[in-house]
Amino acid sequence: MTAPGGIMPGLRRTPLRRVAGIDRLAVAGGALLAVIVLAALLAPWIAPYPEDGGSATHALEALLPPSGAHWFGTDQVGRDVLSRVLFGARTSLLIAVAVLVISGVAGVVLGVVAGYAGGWLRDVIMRVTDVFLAFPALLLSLALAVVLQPSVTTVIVAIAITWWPWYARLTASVAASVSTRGFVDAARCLGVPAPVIVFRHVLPNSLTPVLVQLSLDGGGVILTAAALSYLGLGAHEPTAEWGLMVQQGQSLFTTDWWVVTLPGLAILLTAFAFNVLGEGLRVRLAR
Amino acid sequence: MNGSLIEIRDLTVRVGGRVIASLPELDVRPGECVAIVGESGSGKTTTLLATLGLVHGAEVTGRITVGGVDVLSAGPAVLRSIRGSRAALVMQSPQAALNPTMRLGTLMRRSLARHGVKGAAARSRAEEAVTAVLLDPAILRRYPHQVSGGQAQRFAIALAIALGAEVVLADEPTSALDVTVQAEVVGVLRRLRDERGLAVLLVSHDLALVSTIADRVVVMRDGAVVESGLATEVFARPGDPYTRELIAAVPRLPGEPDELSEEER
Amino acid sequence: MTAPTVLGAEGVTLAYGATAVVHDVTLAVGEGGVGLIGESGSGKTTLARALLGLLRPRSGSLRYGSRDLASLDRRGRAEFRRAVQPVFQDGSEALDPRMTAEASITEALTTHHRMTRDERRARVGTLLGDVGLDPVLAGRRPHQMSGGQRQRVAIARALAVEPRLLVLDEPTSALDVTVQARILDLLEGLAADRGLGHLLITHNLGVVGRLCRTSYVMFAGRVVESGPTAALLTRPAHPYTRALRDAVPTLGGEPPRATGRTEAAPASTGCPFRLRCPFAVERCAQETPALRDVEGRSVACHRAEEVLTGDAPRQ
Repeated sequence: MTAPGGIMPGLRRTPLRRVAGIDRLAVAGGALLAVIVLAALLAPWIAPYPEDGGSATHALEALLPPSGAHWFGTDQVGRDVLSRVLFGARTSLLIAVAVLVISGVAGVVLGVVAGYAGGWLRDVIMRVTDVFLAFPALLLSLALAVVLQPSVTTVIVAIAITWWPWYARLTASVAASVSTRGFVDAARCLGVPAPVIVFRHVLPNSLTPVLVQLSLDGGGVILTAAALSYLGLGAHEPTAEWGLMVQQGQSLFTTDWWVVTLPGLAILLTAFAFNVLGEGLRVRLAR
Repeated sequence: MNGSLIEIRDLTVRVGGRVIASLPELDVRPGECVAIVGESGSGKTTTLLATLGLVHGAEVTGRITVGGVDVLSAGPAVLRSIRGSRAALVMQSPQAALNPTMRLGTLMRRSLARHGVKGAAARSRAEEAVTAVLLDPAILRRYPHQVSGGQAQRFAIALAIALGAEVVLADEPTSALDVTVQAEVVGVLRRLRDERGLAVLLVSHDLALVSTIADRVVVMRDGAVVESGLATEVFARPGDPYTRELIAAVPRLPGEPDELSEEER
Repeated sequence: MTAPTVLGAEGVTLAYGATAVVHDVTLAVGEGGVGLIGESGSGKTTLARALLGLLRPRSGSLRYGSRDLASLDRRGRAEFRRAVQPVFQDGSEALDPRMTAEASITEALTTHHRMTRDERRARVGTLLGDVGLDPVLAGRRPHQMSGGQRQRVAIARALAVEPRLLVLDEPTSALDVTVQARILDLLEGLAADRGLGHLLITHNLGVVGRLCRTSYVMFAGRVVESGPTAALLTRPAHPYTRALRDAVPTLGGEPPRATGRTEAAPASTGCPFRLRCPFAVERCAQETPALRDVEGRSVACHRAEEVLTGDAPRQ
């Protein structure tokens, strides 16, 4: 069956080549991310000097430039930068996944309830999210990270707290419009209990834009986590974390560029992979 | 040339080798309404779009002339000029086609300016066209969201006649409208045909509606013509079982004679 | 005619925010067809939502049998939900896009009764058969079905709870004419075989004529005429009913003339229809006509008698 839309001039479909191009983008983003995830998972086995991911030091080999033995060179205390970048991927991805799961679940649940219920319940939930949204995310994370002890957990909690209101808001607006659709009315007329309607009908049909937003935000979480660590409020020695590595290496930028540049590139690449994947998904699902 | 505004011969539209619409012959002459009737997937809309060279990504063969211009061999510039001044397309939801940030009057003025009509001449042309479709000229000061569906539809027709279109190609122009509003829009088309000799090529699935305006009908199903002829004859003595099914499907008011029942049984 | 009322409205006014869209409407739906006719914006769909218990009235009461809908206890409410089921205009909207036909119908089956997997399967098959669908469609999602098939699935879902009454909101207006005719055949058959009542909401009088013994005509949120459908359509007493009837395209019928006034907004004082009315006189601008009984129907028009005889000018 050829849908009439198929031959209508530019009414629905984008030209085939562009669509394929965008799909390639999503696939490329996904593939890049898969490589990064794989590298993180396999870090203990593929890192040339696994012990360097932790507290080992080799004072005599400090600040060696990239070579056959140390592809990414070594840092101030002689640890292999490639190994630390690989172990750092574990920390950064752990933070990203934890933040996205925590804030995604909290935001979606609250948002879908607010969107379906409407009325005072919606108002209460939305006012709470407004309060959280009123603080700049980084600033609130900073304040929290100062109050709590600096650690990876702190970073996760701090970012998740500033991140969930966005998902709550997005989900609430989508869920509100889904709630007016015929199938939700039909379920109400069948006497299906409200919580069941929310989780069986409204939630699954509201999820797509949130999933896209989550994947677009993965990069942002990694950048924020890196920023917090860079400011000394997140991961600390000897944990390998990209932001921390950049912070520790920044004074060496002009003399020993690899110590700061290569972890920086890792941050950039991962954030980029998340964004490409998210953008690809967005376009694909919008069709 | 036989004086037709639209002349179609041996039209075939294929997508990936599959025929989605074929029409051996169709003429639309001045002051005449020809209707293509059929249901979803019958190829009626494809045929209409092909007539204005608006079918892309499909292989169109045969001969189509609009106002004497060969559509299939014409370049984009020629097609644009036909679509602007000789033949106008009226879609199912005209509101979607109107720029929401522009008053209807502005839209009308700009369209006229593109055809070289400006100033006082443009203003009087616009008011005359709007009045001809029974709209209050005050509507020219409104934005598209401030007018109803039927008003937008009549404005689309007014725009066409202001630009001097001799034939209007309408794709289900009333199927999104209430019956009363539908009657109004079709009434306007009928009036323009009778009073100004406007030709209409109408595509619709509603046989009863078509019977109130069409002079000739073409019944299409699955991309092919199953019956065509004078409207009065097709409706009085449908030759094809599918046409009979379409006629039987028309809802009847109580007290209205069931035309088919006596002849058929 | 005097079937017991299943669903009713008494002096119901409905509003979204500050704007009232339905004013003081009284109506009764028994077992047997009732039509509710009006244009978009007449408030008919809003009234239907209220009758389905999806919208609370600002004033007046909604009745389920002899009880007030608002005062139903849990059990009463569950009973009401089983008794009254909707079929909406667009099957693609009315079915969850992520659910198969079987899942949609199963949801209806299991909301009120416990059932084993096999019982459910069997019931789904029977219901699909009842609405004239091949059981192989059970595994399809809405986008894999045609418009007519989706509408049949929606009807099957409504039937799953064995309702006494269907509220049909423009059930066929999104469909091709032949499909529309088949769905109407199906609804007519269901009404006859199961004694199923229905409230049919539509702007198309041709459809009501077939399915409804009684009809209500709404304009600008008010009932302007009600009575036996055949009487309303053959001899309308309200000019609006008459305009609606004349607008229905019929094969070989005399087409109505365009007047340019069809889309005039309802008047805010006097009779709301007067700006579109060929019968309007001075009095219509000053006095809002109340519903009164004229020749077996209830009509809100000062000049109903003249409309009936057709004496007044037709423009």
